[in-house]
Amino acid sequence: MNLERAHQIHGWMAEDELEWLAQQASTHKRIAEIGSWKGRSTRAMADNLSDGAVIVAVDTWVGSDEDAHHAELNVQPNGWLFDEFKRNMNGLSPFKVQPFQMTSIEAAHLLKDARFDMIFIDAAHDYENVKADISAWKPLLAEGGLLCGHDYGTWPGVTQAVDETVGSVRLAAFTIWEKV
Amino acid sequence: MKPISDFNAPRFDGVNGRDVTIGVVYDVSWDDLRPYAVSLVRSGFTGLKLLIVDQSTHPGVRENFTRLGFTIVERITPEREAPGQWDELGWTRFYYAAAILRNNPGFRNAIWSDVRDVVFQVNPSTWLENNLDPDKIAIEGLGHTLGACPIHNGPWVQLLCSTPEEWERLRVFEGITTGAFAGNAKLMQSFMDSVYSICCRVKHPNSTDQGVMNYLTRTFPYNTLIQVPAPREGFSVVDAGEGAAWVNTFTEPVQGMPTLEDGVLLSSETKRPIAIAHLYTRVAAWREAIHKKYSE
Repeated sequence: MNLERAHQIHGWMAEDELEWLAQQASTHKRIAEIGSWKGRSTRAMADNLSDGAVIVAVDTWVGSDEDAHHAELNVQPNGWLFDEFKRNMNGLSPFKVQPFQMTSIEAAHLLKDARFDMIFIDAAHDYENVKADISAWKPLLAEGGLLCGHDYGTWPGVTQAVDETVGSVRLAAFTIWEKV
Repeated sequence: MKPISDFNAPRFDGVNGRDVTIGVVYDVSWDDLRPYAVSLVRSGFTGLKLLIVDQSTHPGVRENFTRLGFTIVERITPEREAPGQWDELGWTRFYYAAAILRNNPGFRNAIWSDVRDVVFQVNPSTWLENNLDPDKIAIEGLGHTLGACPIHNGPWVQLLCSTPEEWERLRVFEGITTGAFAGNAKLMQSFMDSVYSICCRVKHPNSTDQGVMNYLTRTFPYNTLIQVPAPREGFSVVDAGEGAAWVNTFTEPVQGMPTLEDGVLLSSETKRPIAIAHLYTRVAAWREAIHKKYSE
């Protein structure tokens, strides 16, 4: 897997998680990533896509109420995070990553006629929002597609929401969960 | 040179749930712009009418638009540093439009069109309400396939294809233009953001924003979000038929050319006015009749 550029991007995705995402991306064609931040995991997937595959990256790119976001964004001008994300996609074939700058729920609603063969959920970490994200995106999963997400077991809200909304899951790599 | 990232998109009060039209002008005379301005006012459009101008726009043009209820947004077009930069000026218009929509997330629909060669024959909000899923975008079709246009749209799209198979997939679709598209404002923001970003990345001297827009329109996920209405649906008409200098270069007939009655272009199938008439200036009789109709 090619992870060279992904390693240069700040984020919270561990090495074996990046490896797993890259591996999965190489075998899927229509991928939705919910929560992209600066694009560390986006880039890991994008650099390993097959021809004609597309990643839809959904994020508001304004951060959230979580402390880690505040600390970094408070000292940056408006629009900085989205620009940073776009800069981190430089060098890719220009159509591989399509950003949608909006909330997860808005994007799921607008993309209601699209079907994805891989959906990776890594947006909010509180119970209510994670549950809402999963509920909104699950109907957009193509038959036989891969539904997965980040931070299972480390964020109680994520774990509870996944258990209640997805059903049976397994840990695929460190804190990445996948529906079984 | 002032970078475009210095552009401060204004925030507007009272726009939640309203529609917005966005046009961009450079140095164009009021005579050429009057039909656009007057037709939009006469159409009954009640949303915000935005006109993005630059340092080359004549003060008289600004005054006339302001008098007709338009809101003027100033930008500075960077000076060209090299001849190949001309197209970049075309791409940046989408940057400004997307920035305005991002800063005003309450808009319902955004209606983008060219300005110098466009008239609104029907209130565009009404057309969108009656004809389009509120979560989609409608975009103007050219009436011929990409494969049938060996000089403009065909090569523009081919340039973006990484394999012959990709072009084979795309060549059968009807071409679209950058001259008129409209719909859900959030989606319009994403679409214009993508067109601008991709144009910046492609950076090929023969690449065009219209090539990028054609590619995106026919490719996942935008192919699930964008509709290209048929001529009988009356969204828009673009003259690429009789009167256009390059009509003989098409390898198939252009579909859906309208008829002109009392200065109004009608769908030849339904006999109803088409909401947006684009490139009407290329047919002398159309231009004369429409300019006369929309003189003040």
